[in-house]
This record gives sequence, structure tokens and C-alpha cells, in this order.
Amino acid sequence: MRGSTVVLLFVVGFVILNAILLAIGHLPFSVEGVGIIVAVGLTLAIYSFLYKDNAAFKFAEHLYIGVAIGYNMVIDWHQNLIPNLIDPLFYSKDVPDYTLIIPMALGILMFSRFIPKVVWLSRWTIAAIVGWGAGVTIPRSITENILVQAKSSFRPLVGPDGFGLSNIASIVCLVGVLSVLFYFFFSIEHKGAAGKLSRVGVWFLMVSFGAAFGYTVMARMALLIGRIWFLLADWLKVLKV
Amino acid sequence: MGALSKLLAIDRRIIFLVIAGAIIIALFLPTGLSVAKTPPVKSIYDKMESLPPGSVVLISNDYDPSSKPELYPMTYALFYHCFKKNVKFVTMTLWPGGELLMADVLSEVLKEKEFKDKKEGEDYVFLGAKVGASAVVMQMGQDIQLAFPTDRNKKPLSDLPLMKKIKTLTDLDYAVAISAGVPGIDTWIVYGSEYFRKKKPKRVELGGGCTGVQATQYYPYLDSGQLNGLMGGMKGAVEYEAHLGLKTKEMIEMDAQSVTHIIIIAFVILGNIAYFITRKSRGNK
Repeated sequence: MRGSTVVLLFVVGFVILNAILLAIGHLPFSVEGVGIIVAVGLTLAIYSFLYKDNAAFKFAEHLYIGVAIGYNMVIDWHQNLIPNLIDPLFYSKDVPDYTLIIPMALGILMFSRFIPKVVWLSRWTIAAIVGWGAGVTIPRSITENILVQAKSSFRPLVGPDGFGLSNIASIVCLVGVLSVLFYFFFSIEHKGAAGKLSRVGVWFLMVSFGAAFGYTVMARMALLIGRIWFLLADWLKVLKV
Repeated sequence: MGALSKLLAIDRRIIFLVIAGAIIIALFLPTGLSVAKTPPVKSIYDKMESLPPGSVVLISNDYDPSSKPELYPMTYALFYHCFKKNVKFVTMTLWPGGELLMADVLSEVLKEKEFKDKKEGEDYVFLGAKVGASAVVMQMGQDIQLAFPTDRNKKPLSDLPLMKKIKTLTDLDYAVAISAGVPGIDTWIVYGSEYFRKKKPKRVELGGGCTGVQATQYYPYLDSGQLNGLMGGMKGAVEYEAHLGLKTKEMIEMDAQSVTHIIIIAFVILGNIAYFITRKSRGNK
């Protein structure tokens, strides 16, 4: 059977099933009910990719991208441009904030990307963004992600009451930090003792990748479970807390 | 060896079916597995419990509907805890796509009979969404009204009783960032910490809630004290709900989660056994 026929049969079946659910009052004949049907249809269309790529999946994928971009543009317009630029500059009850002309002009220059002859003008805006971003981010990022982290790595290996179980974590941390740092130190060949130390670093990295993968599986399963709950509880109403 | 070779070449769609089937069965027949409580989640719970009534907490929900199953229950549990403890909260999101979801959580919590008397502007303030990430956090560090002149209902912050004493991030008693990516916990740590540290005699502590995918990257912040606690994924959310004694659908979903983990572990072990045995036989040939 051709893929398009399968999709068509699925759509027809889906429409009939929802018509029955609406007719018997299982789903409310309202905006909420239609919303649930649309959400179910799109969920099934996206998950149909697990069987194989098909037209329903592509439709849902493109729809999602379009809606997401449109939604963000509208939100940006209403929550950013109007209150932060348009209102204070053009509709202010007091003296308009003329300093806003500078960021507005820089923003408009970004549209020069559409005109090849003057595309270089957009670099001014990009330069301003990069300059501001670097100036704001670099000192704070170094402080919070490097200095504070390094400080918390320097711990006494033996506590004031002597060596205890709690000190094992400090030793593991020390060995981990040193061996992983050494693994990324490429100025000498990793042979002999240096090779063994970098090998320990690889093991630490493997453990961290394993933990990250485990959490990733958990996250993906949680999303799948959430969707299946939605299908069974909100749509078919065969599950409840 | 034939069966083992077939196992290695198993159609991935069979694995998908097994997982889906296991989830559906687990949802219909929950086993009620206990939820182990871990120190990172308990730290957030204990901090919230230690706050005297009238304290003010910032809850930044930086996610959108794509992370709803993992993060929505965290937000719900925190709002619930605040109301139950008579702790006031200011909530917001750095993700525009999350604003309607936040409104939904808030209305869900307010449906509880015991919270009917909670008043917007006095017991809680919903600032809404704001794009700008680092700039928004830094503005809030200097003056929250700079970043949010009005709340979500367009009421000026200066008119809201709760905001009379909360002018900057330094005035808060606790903050929790629940995030699905950037902007999120990182943003609050990197750009908010300098303002949190200004509070004397002790800095404003920051708690975190994140998707499972991100959890491992935030554990170093726990160790350094930049985060006082962390809820990782649905497991973290369910732990917090268990501390509160809530009975929610996430408890049932957690059962399904445990079942899928067992199946995946079984597949990984079987796959590795099959791989090593067939490799040996291939080597002999």
C-alpha cells in the first residue's frame, strides 16, 4: 500500500473517530474540544515518523515551525517593541526618550541584509551586539563559571577530625579534575604515567557521558509519557488521577 | 548465534512498540513504586519550609509547552508550597512561549479551595514574559520596574502592595529558576548572582529546576553553592510533590517512567551480551 494511501486512510479514520466522540458527548463541542482534537492529530502526525517519514509528519513539522515563529514575532512586538521603543518614543505623555533612536537605527540597519549593495551596514549592528555581549558576559561568566567553580574544587583532603568517609568525595573530585584536565593537555605525548593519568580522565568523562545519557533517556521518556497521558486521559478519557 | 544476531539487527520500531505498550500498561496499572527522596530536592523543600510567612520568593519559569511534562509539575508544586506556607511569590518567564502556560499553572493552583482567598498583587504577582535574558536579569538586579513596568494585567508595579518592598533582586528572600534551556538557570547564576550576593548578612539563595537532559550540567553548581538545590526532570518534580504530600498524575507517570527505564536497561544489557558473544564468534571465524 502506498504511503499516501495510508495517510489518507488514517486521516479518514481519525475524522470519523472524533466525529463519534463529539456526537456521544465524550468531547465538548467547543473551542476546548476542537483544541484537543487538533492537538491529538498533530501528536499522532509527529509520532508517525517513528514508523517512517511521511506527509503527515512533514505537515505537522512545518506547521510547528511556522506557528512558533509567528507566535514569537507577535509576542516580541507586543512585549518588547511597543513598550520599550514605540510607546516611549512616539506616544510618550512626557518628553520622548530620544536616546532610543540609536538602538532603533541599529535595529533598522539589520534589514540591510536584504540589500546586497549595503549589506555591510548590518555589521555595525552586529558589532554593537557583540561588543555589548562580550563586555557584559565575559567578566560575569569567568567569575561564575570558572573562578567560583575552581574555588569550590579546592577542598581539604582531610577534615579537622581526621580522615573520614566524607573526604573520599573530595579525593574523587581532585582525581577527576586533575585527570580530565590532563586529558585535554596536548603539549606532551600521553605515554607512560601521563598516559595512565589521561586514561583515568577518559573514565571520568565516560561516567559523566553515561550520567548525561541516562538523564536524557529519562527526559525523553517523560515527554513521551506526558503525550500518552494526554491521548488516554484528555482525548479518550479512559484514564484519570 | 542466529537469535543473537537477529537481536542485534532488531527493527527499532519493535523497541518503540514495546516501550509504548509498557507505558500504556503502567499507566493503567500503576504499581505505586516509592519515590526515593534525594538531598538536592530536599534542600529546596527545606529552604521553602524555613521561610517565615510573608517572605517573598521569585519563581522564574523559563520554559515553554515542549517541556511541560517535566517542568509544569515543579511550578505547580512551588506555587502550591508558597500558598500553603503563606509565602508570597513573584513569578515571571524569560520565554515568551511560556507565558500562557504559567497563567494555566496559576489558575490550576488557585482552583484549590484552601487558596480561594489569595489575592493577585498582595499574595502573588505575575510579571508575565520578557525577552532579553541577561539584560532582563541585570535590569531586575537594579530595579525590577525597569524590566517590568507593569505586571501581566498591565497594572503598574508601583501600585501593587507586594512590590512596595521588593524593588530589586536583592530584596528577595529566595529565588528558584525552573528552566528548559537558555535563558534559564545559567542566566540567573551568571547575571543574577552579583545582585543575590549583595543581600546581607546572607546572600539570596537560588534553587533550580530543569529538564532531565540538563540536570548533569547543573550538579557542579550545587557543589559550589551557586545553587542551593536542584530538581532534575520529572523525578525531581515528583520528589517535591511527595514532600508536599500531593497525589498527582505525575506519581502515576513516574511508575511508567520506572518501567521504561527497566526495559531500556534490559535492552542495553541484552544488546551488549549479544554484541560480545557474536564478536567472539566472528573473531573465531
